[in-house]
Amino acid sequence: MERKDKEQRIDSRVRVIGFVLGIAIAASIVTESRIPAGAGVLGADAHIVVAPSGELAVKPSGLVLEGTGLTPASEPATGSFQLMNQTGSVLDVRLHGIPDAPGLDRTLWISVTGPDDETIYRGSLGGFRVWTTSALTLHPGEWRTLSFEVWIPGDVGPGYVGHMAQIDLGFRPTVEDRP
Amino acid sequence: MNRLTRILAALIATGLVAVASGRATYAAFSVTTQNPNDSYVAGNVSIADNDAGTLMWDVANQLPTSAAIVRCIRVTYTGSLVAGVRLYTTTPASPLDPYLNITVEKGSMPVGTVFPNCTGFTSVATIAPSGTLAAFKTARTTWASGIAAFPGAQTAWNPNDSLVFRFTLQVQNNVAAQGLTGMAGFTWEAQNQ
Repeated sequence: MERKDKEQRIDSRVRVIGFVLGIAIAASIVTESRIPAGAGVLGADAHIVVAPSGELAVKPSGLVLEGTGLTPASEPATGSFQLMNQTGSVLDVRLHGIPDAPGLDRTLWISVTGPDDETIYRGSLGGFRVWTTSALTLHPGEWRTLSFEVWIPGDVGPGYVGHMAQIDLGFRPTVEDRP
Repeated sequence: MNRLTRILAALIATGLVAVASGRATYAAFSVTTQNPNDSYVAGNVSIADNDAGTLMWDVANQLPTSAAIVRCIRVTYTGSLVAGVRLYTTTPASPLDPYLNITVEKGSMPVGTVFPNCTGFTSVATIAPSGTLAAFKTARTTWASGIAAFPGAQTAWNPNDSLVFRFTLQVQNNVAAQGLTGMAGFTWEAQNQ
């Protein structure tokens, strides 16, 4: 009788230990196999696209700047293309950029420089929606290079996070007034 | 261990597993995604040329023996929709029209050739065989009667397509043409297909 009671106590303890061990193993498997949360910051994407106009040829055509994951800490994204005057007149060419979404208008900055490093535009993407006041002068048949940089300034808030914009460049050529 | 203790142990264990798996699931799928600024933009048709508002020809004192006037203009389709393009004129008749022969070809030309030169032009097809300017002005006056032309062997214009048109003019050897003036302007119209 005494021996039977002892066996029952041992059996009961073994079951409890087994149960606890099983729970512990199951919990550790679930915990260890979880995918850790990402620690990165979602940046902004900006693409600049260019197409020829009637008066101007471009090389290359299409995507000329691709900025991905832009944050205040990241380097500016850069790009360039060549522009050619295919008219018979001297042209002053002004530019603007129309993004397909307004999300980066205040938080993305853009600079456009000419072949001699002259600044044609430097400011917010929103400000680039209007034609630039500075112009690039192109003689008939002349190719010139335009360079672009886009970046997120350090003092902007988190408004840029996760936003994307495709910026279509437009040209407004006018025949230069010559005295 | 009595029955109550076992039930309590089972409940605690179940709770621990639930908490552990719940935290793991939350950690794995806590990243969000956004679908901001949905937009709807209508397509457009747009066409431009490389004349910058200047004349294709402006010549005087032409003779039947003078070299033919040959000029080229590049037309670029800048719209977003697939389109057809037709050439016509709306310029009223002028005295020299019956004595001025005109031919229009379509083709390609190096990008470096500027308006209105034709250096390097390669003809693909003659879209208006030689005839008088008077006949052209009579026959080709609207989109409906305009001359359809497409880049290469295409049957439609796609965004950023361009095509060069070469115009050749020669005054006829006809004494009646002496001292007369002829004028013409040309229109390229795009309509989405």
